[in-house]
Amino acid sequence: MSANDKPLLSVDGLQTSFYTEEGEVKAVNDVSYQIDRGERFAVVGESGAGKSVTSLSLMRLIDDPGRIKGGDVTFRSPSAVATLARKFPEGVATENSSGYIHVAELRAESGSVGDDPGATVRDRPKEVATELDDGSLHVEAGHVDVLDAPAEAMQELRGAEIAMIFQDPHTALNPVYTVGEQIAEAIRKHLDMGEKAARERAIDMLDRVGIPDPAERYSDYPHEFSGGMQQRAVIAIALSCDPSLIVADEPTTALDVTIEAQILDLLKDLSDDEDVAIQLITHDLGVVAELCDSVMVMYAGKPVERSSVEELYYDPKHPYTVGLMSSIPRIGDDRDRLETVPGTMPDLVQLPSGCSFHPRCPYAEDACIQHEPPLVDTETGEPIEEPDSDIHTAACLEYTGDLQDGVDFDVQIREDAAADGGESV
Amino acid sequence: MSLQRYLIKRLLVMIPVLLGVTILTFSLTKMLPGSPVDYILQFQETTPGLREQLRAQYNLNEPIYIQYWLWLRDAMMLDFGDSLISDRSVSGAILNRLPNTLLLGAMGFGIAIAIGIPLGVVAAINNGNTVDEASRVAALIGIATPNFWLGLMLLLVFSVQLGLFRVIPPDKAVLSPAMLKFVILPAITLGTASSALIMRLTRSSMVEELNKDYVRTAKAKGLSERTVIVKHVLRNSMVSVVTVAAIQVAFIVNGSVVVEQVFSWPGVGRLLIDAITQRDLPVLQAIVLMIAVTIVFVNLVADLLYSWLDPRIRY
Repeated sequence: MSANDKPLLSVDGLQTSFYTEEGEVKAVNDVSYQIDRGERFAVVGESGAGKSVTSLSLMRLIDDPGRIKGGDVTFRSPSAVATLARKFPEGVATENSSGYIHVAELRAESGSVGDDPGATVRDRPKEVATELDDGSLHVEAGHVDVLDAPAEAMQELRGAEIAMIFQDPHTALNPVYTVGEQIAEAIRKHLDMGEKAARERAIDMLDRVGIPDPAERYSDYPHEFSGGMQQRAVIAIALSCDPSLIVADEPTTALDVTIEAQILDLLKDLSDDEDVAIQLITHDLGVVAELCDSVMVMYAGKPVERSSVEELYYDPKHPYTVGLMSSIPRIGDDRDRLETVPGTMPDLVQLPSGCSFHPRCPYAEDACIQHEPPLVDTETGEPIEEPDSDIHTAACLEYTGDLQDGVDFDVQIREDAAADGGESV
Repeated sequence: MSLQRYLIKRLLVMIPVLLGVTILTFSLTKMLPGSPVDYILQFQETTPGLREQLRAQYNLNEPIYIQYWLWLRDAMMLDFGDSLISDRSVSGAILNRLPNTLLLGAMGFGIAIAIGIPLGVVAAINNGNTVDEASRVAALIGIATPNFWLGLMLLLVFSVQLGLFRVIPPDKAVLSPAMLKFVILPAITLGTASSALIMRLTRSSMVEELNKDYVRTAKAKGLSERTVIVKHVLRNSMVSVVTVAAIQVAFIVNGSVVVEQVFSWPGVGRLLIDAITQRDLPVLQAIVLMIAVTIVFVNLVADLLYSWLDPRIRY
């Protein structure tokens, strides 16, 4: 298996907590997932499920009183590895010293390094990175340990490799700088371009995201843009430095429905054309169906179900997912009232014992109060090694065989699922 | 609306304000007890004939609006007549003192800004921890200390005991090294309270801005902490700071009257005190008018700064 077959992003056992006066709020509690190159991955859940905190954690943008407690975030972008190795040669991990930049295959673009022609230099990347200061460094494979990277290295990753689109475009742009300047400043920072080149590229970006008269609108201030155009500008910022991953945090929640469709189409086109992966955070399963390939459902800081989008819609396995699905209104639906998931998200300081969803789960048994269900392959009931979304996993005791009324439960879920899933697609 | 059009509009709006200011200043003489003639004569007994002659000479028999018009016409030419005490021209006396006061005021304001804004930024970044608390206490002390007392203490410690500065200003040109050295203590005295206020305001306005979404966007672009603070947050925070800084100019003008007295500084403030004690009406009028006009113009500058700082403000 070549290095490029490995996922672009692997999040493994991520834990982020906020230390408040009430106690430790476990906003993200052992979350693992993978995103492949160019994949569109959705993180779904109610407010407070830990979706946004997951994304901000991988950007390392968690502010006090929050702290990333544990886990690994592995980012496998050759360009990121090359940039960081060039700028921070002391951060390159070698066999006998620790570092956060792991270079598997590193060579000069010409194929030779200094006076050592044709050598791959995985054994002395530090020296090579320094030698190749002219920028001709070429990385075949490698990865960056995002959570171990120092602040300066994170600044090189943010915007350049991992970009972000925010929920509310009205407030996401700085009101006192022109839209163009806010795009150009990222370009100047990451692509080593001068004023003029950065300006031209920013205008191209505005054009790319569908802003008419981009050269003129460059000098407009955010308040002179409509909401949809502001979000397009935010997307232009995210796109401006050719990132390999865009994290979109509820990018359409603050927009009109018609604009929402346009923005989703734009994101879809961009990810197809530029081969950029998208991590979409949303509470809207309709948006997921529209845009994404695979999906992770979160509840109370944990993933409860992970699968491809198709699997999830046709065959949801977790009672919470089923609850979310049946709360979506549909055309041709003759129910008087929409189903809701009863109750609210539990207090993240004092999580319920066992399965955190049991107080709201219509199928909960005694076992659910005592045992916390692991995330397992729904076919085999065994935990899987890599958090691969191609394998359908769910965190419910049903699939570990610990439920007494397992069969009953199984049938009820499938009835629900067939009805809901069938109509939604 | 373009900035130029806004400027023209603002200048036009200033005309009635300035007229109001001149009317108030002019009425000063009419509101004082006694007749202007008493002030001209410094309340000395004299013959009714001389009084009548003075009334005629100063147009005091004309209707009041004619008197106002005549005064205004001269005032616009910066002709405020002669001082009643020294017989020098009022404008000459003021212009003679003005450079000293401008130097003191500019230094005081400069200190207020140069200390207030950076410390406010530091306090905001350290929101809630010891640095922030220490700055809060320092600001309270700064605001609560009366300037005349602070001035006396500085004189006592640095001039009398340590002998670092002269107690009385040297009789030198305004921008000479000796004067520039002497002005340090009065400028600190004048700027302390304002710097404390500007610091608190910078801090609170930065803390508010730091929580805004655009800060996260800027960080997500990979900008350094420094760029995020200085380029993005500070400029947004400055809108409210400019308002207060403009008000501080008025405070500094007021303060300079007291501080000039404490440090024997030969400025307009002392001229004003002398004019009051000596009942020198023309000088008093001219200085009051000058202060009022200054503050009107400072506010104009503040308004122009707003629209430069925040393009959403374009009236």
